[in-house]
Amino acid sequence: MTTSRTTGEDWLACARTRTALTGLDGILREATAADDALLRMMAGHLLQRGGKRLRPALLLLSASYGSYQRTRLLRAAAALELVHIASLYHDDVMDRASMRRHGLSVNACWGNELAALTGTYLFARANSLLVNLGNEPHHVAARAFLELCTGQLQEVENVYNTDLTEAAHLEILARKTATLFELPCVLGALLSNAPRRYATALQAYGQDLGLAFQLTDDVLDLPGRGRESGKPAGTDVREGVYCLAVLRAVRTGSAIAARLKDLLGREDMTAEQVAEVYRLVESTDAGSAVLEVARSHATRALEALQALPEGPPRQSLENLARHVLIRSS
Amino acid sequence: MDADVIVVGAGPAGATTAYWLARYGRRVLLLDRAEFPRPKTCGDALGPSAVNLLQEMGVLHRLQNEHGDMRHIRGTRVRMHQRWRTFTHERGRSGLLVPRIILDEAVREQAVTAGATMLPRTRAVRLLRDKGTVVGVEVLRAGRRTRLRAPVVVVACGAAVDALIPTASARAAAGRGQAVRGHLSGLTGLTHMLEIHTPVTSPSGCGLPPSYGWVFPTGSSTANAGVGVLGPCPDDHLTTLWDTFVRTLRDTDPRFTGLRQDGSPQSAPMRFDFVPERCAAPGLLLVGDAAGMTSPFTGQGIGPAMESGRLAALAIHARLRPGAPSAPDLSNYIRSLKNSYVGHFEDGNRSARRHLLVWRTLHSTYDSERPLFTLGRQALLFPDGFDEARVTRVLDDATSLLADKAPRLRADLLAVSEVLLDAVRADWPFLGRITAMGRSMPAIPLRPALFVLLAGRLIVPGRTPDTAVLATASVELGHLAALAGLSVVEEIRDGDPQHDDKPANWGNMLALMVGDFLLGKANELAARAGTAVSRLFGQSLATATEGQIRHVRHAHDLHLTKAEHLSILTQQTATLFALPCKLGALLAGATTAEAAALEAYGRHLGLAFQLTEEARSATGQPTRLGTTLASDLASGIFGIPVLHVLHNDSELSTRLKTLIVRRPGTNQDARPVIRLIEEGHGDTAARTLASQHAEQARAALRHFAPGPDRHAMERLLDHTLRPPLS
Repeated sequence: MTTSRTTGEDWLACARTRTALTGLDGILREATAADDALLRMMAGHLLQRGGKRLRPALLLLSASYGSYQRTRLLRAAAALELVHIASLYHDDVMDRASMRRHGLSVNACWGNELAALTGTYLFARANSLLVNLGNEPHHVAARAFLELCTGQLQEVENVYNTDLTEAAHLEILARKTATLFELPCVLGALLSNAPRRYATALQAYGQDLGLAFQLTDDVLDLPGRGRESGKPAGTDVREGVYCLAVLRAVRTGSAIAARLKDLLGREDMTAEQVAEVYRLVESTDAGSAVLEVARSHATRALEALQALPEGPPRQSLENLARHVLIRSS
Repeated sequence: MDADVIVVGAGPAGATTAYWLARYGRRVLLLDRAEFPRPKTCGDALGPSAVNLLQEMGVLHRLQNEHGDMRHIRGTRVRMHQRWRTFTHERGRSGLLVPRIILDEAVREQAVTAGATMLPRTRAVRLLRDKGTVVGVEVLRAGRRTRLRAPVVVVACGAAVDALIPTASARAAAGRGQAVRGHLSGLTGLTHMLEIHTPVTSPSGCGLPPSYGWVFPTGSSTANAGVGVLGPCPDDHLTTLWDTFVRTLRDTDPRFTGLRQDGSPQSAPMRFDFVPERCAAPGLLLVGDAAGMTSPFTGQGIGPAMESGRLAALAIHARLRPGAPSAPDLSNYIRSLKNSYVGHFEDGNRSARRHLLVWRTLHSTYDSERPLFTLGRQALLFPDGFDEARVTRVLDDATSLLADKAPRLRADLLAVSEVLLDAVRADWPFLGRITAMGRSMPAIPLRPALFVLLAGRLIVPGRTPDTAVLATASVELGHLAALAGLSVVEEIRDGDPQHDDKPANWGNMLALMVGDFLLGKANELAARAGTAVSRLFGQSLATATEGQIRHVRHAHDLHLTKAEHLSILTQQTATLFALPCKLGALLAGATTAEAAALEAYGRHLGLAFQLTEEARSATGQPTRLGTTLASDLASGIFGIPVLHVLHNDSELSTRLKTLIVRRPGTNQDARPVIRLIEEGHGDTAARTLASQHAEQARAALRHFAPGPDRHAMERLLDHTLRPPLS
């Protein structure tokens, strides 16, 4: 359920950050080293497949507005990547996803119990890195992780809820997804002692960027839009996790909405009914309306960046937000 | 003023409030729209704590005099997915089944005997208010409207509360359910157990809220039976459910073959929209069903109704000064409700959604023996077995073990519990319940809090610093998170890689979410307690998880050596005991040597604990964590007793191997294994090792001068090796 896919390769226009990021893998390897050979393998399973390292990059870029010590910053960046991966491990067990990053998921290779435990292990290792950054950064991160878990709990508690309001839905997304975009920006500013107005701008940017990413992914992941995600098509609707496009379509007040109300809200849907739900949703303009919402968040993220001095770091952050704009149009 | 307190509604909640207020010497007007005695649609079941309350009020005595012996209830049996589970009250405790027409009259009479004035056939039409404060009630009596005034009005009129206090429309549907009840006769084979049959489904019920059925035996061949629905539901559907339930009983359970229905079934609303904050306003208290205190999963509500009445009376009596110009401050009532009913009923306006989630999880994990679900099942289906009285008693057991240090430790332990509950209550009240229950498990004298506190005292006697309380709460939440994490299971793969048609695994989902959430909370509390605490916390989490991973990967491994098993236990279990000791030392400013000694104490005690558990389960006793040899063998966990016999190269070893590879899963299957272990002295081997580790723990304590704290920690070792019989 967590966003990580398809960012353009060349958005990172800041050479200094690119160079700094090359030191990341070593720290990640060191942090996930374990005596047990299997644990080492499981812990490194996704790390070895690369990934965009989006959160580490956001953290380094945000730190450009102050002064920092490179190793210290890379440790924080590694910690965030580990927490991100840990959350993917747990997500994949919950979603029963067998594929991740063009390969088998950890749970598909070693089973649910070990995948879940390895996720927790990665979280513990991330925490050990963060503790060494000092009390405040660690506490900021600890609060953010709690937000993330609370958001997930709220999401599952609202499964099959067709009456979930848009505000409540967005709040859940803000907690469970945007938190991990916002945190690198906040930590980067904090660890580099960036001026307060920059820190505020970066935080706002992270929050809006995260929402824009998630909302766009949710629409592009609708079956029939040609994107392959790790889980079987229709799982979300069958399991009662309704994305904003579905929630909006239910609320259009038309005959389609009435039919959707009949189909949704129950656990015993057939494959045909699931397919019908998506057909109905596609026949409304809910999908494009949600992309519009995503674009507005991306635009707000861009606006927040105006407070920052121009240069390659800001250019990179802008590229990322523009990238969402392009994907969502 | 017409009275000190007016109580609207003379059911069990109202009459209990009136009784205690009258006993305290207050002038009480108790009014009800009916003439008593009157019947009431209900399951008629009372839990042990309600029975205690009846005893205290003298009602039990009255009932026995007037109606002879009541029907005692020993526990609850639940049938879900063709499988029965039994929950039994502890020895010396039992519930009762009393028809409401008798019970309500007896409680009401007792209130009148105590001095309350009863006004029957008096209907409250509206509350009288003065600048937002309730100052009385307007009633309709024999066709005439009258205004009655009092400084406090207690509303106890059940679902009729809506007429007096309108609910916001957004809340109106949430937390409301329906029940239908009838009487059955011609039954056979009934016992002194309540029965819950769940779910009750009808073909037309798709998309409607879930429902359960109950059969409460009123005699050897008669029962009060009914169906409860977790949400709003049309009347005709309720009838369909009742018919389905009765038909299913008749067709599938031989005890019900000759079933007859006596009279036609009656329906009644149920309210489970309890929110403590809503139960008190200036001049006004809500008790019982009017406060939404019914369990959505079993329909039981009389006990909580009476208990809330008692709490309301206490709160009023403590603050009501006759003639005082302003309304008394009754906020203590909210506080005591929160403490007594944390998560017992879900609160907050998201309750209805949570009920559904919990319902789904309950059903999809009904067969699971994993700790989170065992605890959750008990909390939902048998809340009476884990009331506050039990939590308090277990706490007494723990502190009495420590003799003279008790009062202070007890206060500190309570402080930790409060932080713990506050940490989870705001987000998910039900977790608060699990937390409270976790504390009442029989292994409790060994709860981590005790180690932090004792280790701290050993270094610096006296008051426990606030950071230690935070750190302790963090460790306890971490332990709970670990329990939740241990509840993730594999799914049966049926060859279909897409497993398209399989329902979601609510058990795994909840185990991970709850585990992560508790871990997140624990981590945040640790961060508040400071960097050093966080560092220890993180290291221990990594070590314990690594141990757990090794543990899982060696499941069903017949070649696992004893040494390797011990090394896994050291990581996985002993770390959880060493951490609180280290934290206690750290926060008290211990020297490196002192901290090392305390760490060694915790580690060895943890090993002694685990090895004792293994020896117990290997001899057929249940462990303090609720596992059995059968459940261990089923999940491929081999303790020292098994490994000792497996690796002793004798004919016993071969026989044991043959038995084990068949994966014995029931207690009966495990019996031959137990005999082989005894023959091969496997349990003795584990006990010997346990004693050795206990001795090493004792030796570590000799680093400190003798004294009451060291003595208490030595007694914990004795307790570890020789737990009291449960």
